[in-house]
Amino acid sequence: MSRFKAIVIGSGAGGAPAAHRLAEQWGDGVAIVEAGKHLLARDLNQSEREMVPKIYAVAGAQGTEDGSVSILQGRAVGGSTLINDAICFRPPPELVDRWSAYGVKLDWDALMTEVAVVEEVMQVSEIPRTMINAANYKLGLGAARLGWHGERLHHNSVGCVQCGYRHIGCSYNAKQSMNLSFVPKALAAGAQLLAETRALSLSPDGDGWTVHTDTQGDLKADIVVVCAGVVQTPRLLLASGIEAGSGVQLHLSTVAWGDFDEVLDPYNGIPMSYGVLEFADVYGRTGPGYVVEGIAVQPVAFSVQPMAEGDATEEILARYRHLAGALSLVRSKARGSIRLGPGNRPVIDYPTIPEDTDRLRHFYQRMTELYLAAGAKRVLLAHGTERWVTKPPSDDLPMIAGGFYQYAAHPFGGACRGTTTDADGRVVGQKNLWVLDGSAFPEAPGVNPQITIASLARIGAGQILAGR
Amino acid sequence: MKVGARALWGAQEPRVPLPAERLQYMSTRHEAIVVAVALAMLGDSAEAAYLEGRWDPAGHVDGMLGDLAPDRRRDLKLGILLLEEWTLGLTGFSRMSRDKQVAFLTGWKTSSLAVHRTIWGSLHAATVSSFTAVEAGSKDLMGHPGPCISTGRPPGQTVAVVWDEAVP
Repeated sequence: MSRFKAIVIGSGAGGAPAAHRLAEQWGDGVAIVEAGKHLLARDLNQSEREMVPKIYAVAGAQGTEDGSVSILQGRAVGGSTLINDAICFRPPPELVDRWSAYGVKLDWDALMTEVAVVEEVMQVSEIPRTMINAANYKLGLGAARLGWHGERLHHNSVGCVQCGYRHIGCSYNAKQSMNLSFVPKALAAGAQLLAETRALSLSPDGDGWTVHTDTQGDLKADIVVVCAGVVQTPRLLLASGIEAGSGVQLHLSTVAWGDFDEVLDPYNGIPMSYGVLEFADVYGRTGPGYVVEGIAVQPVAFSVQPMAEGDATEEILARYRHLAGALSLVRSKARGSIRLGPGNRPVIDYPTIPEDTDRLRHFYQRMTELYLAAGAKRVLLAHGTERWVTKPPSDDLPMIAGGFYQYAAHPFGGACRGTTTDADGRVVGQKNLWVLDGSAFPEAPGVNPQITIASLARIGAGQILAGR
Repeated sequence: MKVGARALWGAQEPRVPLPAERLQYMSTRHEAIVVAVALAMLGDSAEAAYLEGRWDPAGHVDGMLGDLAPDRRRDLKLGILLLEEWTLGLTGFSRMSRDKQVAFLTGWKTSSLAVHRTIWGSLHAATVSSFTAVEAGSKDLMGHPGPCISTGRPPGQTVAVVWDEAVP
């Protein structure tokens, strides 16, 4: 049986930076346990059919129990950073006040210090104009014509060849996801990577822990840091007899596309490169609470979004090259939960509430205005009854669960600071057990979270090293 | 006039292998329903691809079932059968006319019963993605040239953007 000073479970946005910081001091006393495979650029072949089952949780079929929200997460070394669109936002300053309501006091200066480190390691930069593709440009053009706040996004990529396949892993080693940034740095500092190893449960072992795994047997550690992602972290705690799973929140996404006369070929170029923050409630903005980001997906990912049958589906697919799309990131007000189902499978329950659907409808209305202003002849909504529109849908547009396409790539909570964990990420009532991923967020931040997760994980790792 | 695949089978058998040889999780009954749903979800281009053996929706869905946890797999298989059972009074889904199938699916998508909407969502995602995962969908219908790596096409933008200075 192997014994480590610290075992970090998960190698994504939280696990990799935490493991790196711990390994800088403890070297090979640190192990990273990762359920997914360690894939190299040559393994990422741009085939949606092959890659989605290989690198997405539940083969891409993960969702809420009622089927109304797909939940996209990565399952490989690098976690969801392997399959995200590489968009980077700094933590919104509003988090300080919002999280204080849960008893979480963020040290803003300390957080910004770690943000600087994370941005340097992940090589974050503003996407230049020359790399905004035709579809994303339409989003910026429409926003500018309406006087709405739009901006080029930041990404963690260097030498991007603009192939358009970020969501199934970068084949060119350009996207600086965790598998190419903090994981190699952790390994260089001496940490061991145990890939294709699933942590099944945890048992107390004196002041330390035993991690029961499927392929490596039992592993012992003085300290365990759980960073398995928002579904798997609560699942692991629950399977270990630790109360968890409450307070889940999502950034809710639905999609709208402008249909233009000219060919845009949205699948080429950086998929997500322009954003509209007019309706956000972060960075001093006082909108209803959602960010808009460009989206230009490959055929399979695109085709499941419009809710049509028969000839209507064929008509939509045939317009693919002419579409410019955008997604919403609604900072949901609902609270869901994660519980254990048969075989300890995590079951995700998430309510559909008017405070969220009102803003998703608002997104449909505003995106219709935006794309028409940009010159689209009509707008396609990912809605079950309103499909092609030439004017914004009314306030009466029904928004029932399952009646429109909805997904979430940013789940939070399930081991929230202030309930399951304390203000710093220690699991309440347990010794030497920490949660340093998005599941410890007490509230959804409202923007793409990888920089915030990584920075908070580094702070937590620093506290572990300091013995606090 | 639209002609359903079922009506054409007498003259042109699909070239896909028999289910017993290749499907691991679905029965022939499941297969008939899944094929009917797939054709109803996708329209004429997909039907042509199916008849020409360039698209195998049942094989794709069967593979997808294999990636699911056992209880989720059971739920989806039950959902497939439920679609047929619910329409037995109307001769069963797989034997309806195409127009009636499309209307029936639309009814489930907009149904007041959550279970109908859930099943619609699962079947829609499974069948539509099975078509756009093959060239008959992604290339022939959608116009996507295929992955850079497998086709050798150079990555990068192909549509020039003339930037309006009013856009930040």
